[in-house]
Amino acid sequence: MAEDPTAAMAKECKVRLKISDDTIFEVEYAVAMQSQMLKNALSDTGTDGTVPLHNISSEIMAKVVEYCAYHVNAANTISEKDVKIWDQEFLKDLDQATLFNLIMATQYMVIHNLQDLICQTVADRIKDKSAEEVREIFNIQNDLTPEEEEEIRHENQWAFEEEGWPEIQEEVRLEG
Amino acid sequence: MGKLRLRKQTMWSDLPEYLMERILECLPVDCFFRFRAVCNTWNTLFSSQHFNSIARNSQPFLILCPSSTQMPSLLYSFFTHTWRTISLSFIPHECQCPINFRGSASGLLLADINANFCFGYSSPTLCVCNPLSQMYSLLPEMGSVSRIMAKAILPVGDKTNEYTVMVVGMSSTDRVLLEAYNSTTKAWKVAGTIPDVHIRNENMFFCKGSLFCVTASGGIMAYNVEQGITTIVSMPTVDAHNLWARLVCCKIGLVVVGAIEENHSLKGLIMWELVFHEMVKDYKWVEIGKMPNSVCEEFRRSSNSNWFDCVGVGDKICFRANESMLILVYDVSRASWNWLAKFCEDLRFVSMGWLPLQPMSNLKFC
Repeated sequence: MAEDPTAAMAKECKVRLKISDDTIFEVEYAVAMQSQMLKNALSDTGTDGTVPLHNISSEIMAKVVEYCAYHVNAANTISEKDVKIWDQEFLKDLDQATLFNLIMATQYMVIHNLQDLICQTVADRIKDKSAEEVREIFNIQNDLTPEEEEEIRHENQWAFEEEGWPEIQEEVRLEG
Repeated sequence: MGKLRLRKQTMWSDLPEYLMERILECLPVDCFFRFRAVCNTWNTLFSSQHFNSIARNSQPFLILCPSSTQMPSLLYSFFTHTWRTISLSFIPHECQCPINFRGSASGLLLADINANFCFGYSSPTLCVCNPLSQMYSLLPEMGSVSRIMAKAILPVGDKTNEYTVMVVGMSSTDRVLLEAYNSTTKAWKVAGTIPDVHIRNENMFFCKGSLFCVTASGGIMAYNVEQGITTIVSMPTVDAHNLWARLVCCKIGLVVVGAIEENHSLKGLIMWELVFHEMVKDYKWVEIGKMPNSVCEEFRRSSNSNWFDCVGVGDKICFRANESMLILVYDVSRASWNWLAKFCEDLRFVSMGWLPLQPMSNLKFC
């Protein structure tokens, strides 16, 4: 069996990724390995050539590389709590379009942890919204008849009602 | 393959179903119900076995039920940290009689309506209700037990919608029996006899195959339903202090909350899990948490009353002093203490039962 190339290549090798507008992204081998798809592609062909990623724009690629680069080091050196804080900041101000394109990129490049993070972030953004607002965000056609929708709202009345009382007091975390 | 354009309007509809499901799985369970109204696909999805399984295994809600269904019940979601009201007026009962909610499992509550101290009725009527679907079922009278000592409702099986209600009580011949009701057969059947044991109050919990209650002498009675074996376990001791024990059932198992009192005032609180050791075929106490002095002091200050109640809700144990609307929560998995956001001021003196309520997204039966 051939020697595991990872150890030798880790710091030195750069991987060349050619994206949609033909620009080339050069990333460290370890960073590229965060993508299962690249891992498979490179294990077959080696790192000499350039991997084409036509369906990813430069804006999205930059974000993906930023995430993967941080997470290569994070595993060993940064506390779980700080990683979480970084992850939140990373996605915080991104608009819907960018989130959508990022999630599609993680699907194509097979980057599980980033995909999970984006899914949780999108869920967090919609959890307080009404059914109408959610339809608008995801551009979903309401194919329920008025009777069907009324039945659902009636059966699950408790979930649709406005909160009975506003929070008077914040949840206080105590030493314990 | 063409370039991926940043299309503003229609893009999310291009999201593969698998990814949309992944996003929806991350939502708090409350949304599983509200977002059914989005479209047909989402309605089907949230009613599916997969999402119901997620709901089933998630942190339950906390429900506070006043003893009169004329007043709304309060529902707290640990996901959204908010309170909602929910009406239980669909349950029929005489206005003058308090309704006592005694057990909870799989989104169903067990109540006794026409409770004992309502004159004119010799035995209470048991009722099983589903607050979220607003359905109820009145149970027929028991066959053998004539005086109920304790009752519990057991969780619904994974594949079936069948529930079981178990009652421990005295027969007309003064034997202590265990009688069980099955929702499919709609009939009661004697399930075992229990050695003469005086049960302290009506709270009985079903946990890991056994029924548990506190005995009059301050011990814990554990009854293994399948084997029909009763075990009496003494309470753990803490130095020479008096320990007043309350049982709670939470995600990890059966927990005993031991309040250390001095001069009728709460001095401290320790929680132990009752663990069954297969090897020695006996129960052991494992300490899982203690109330810090500062928290204890705050809890004492939350009410003029020395009496408090506690309930297990998922991986949390909730505490509330009598005549207070402040709820203290111990998170068992994180070993941390929190006060919940306040609910309505007016309900301070209303007698309330409280229970965990598991949101089950497709269980509309009762």
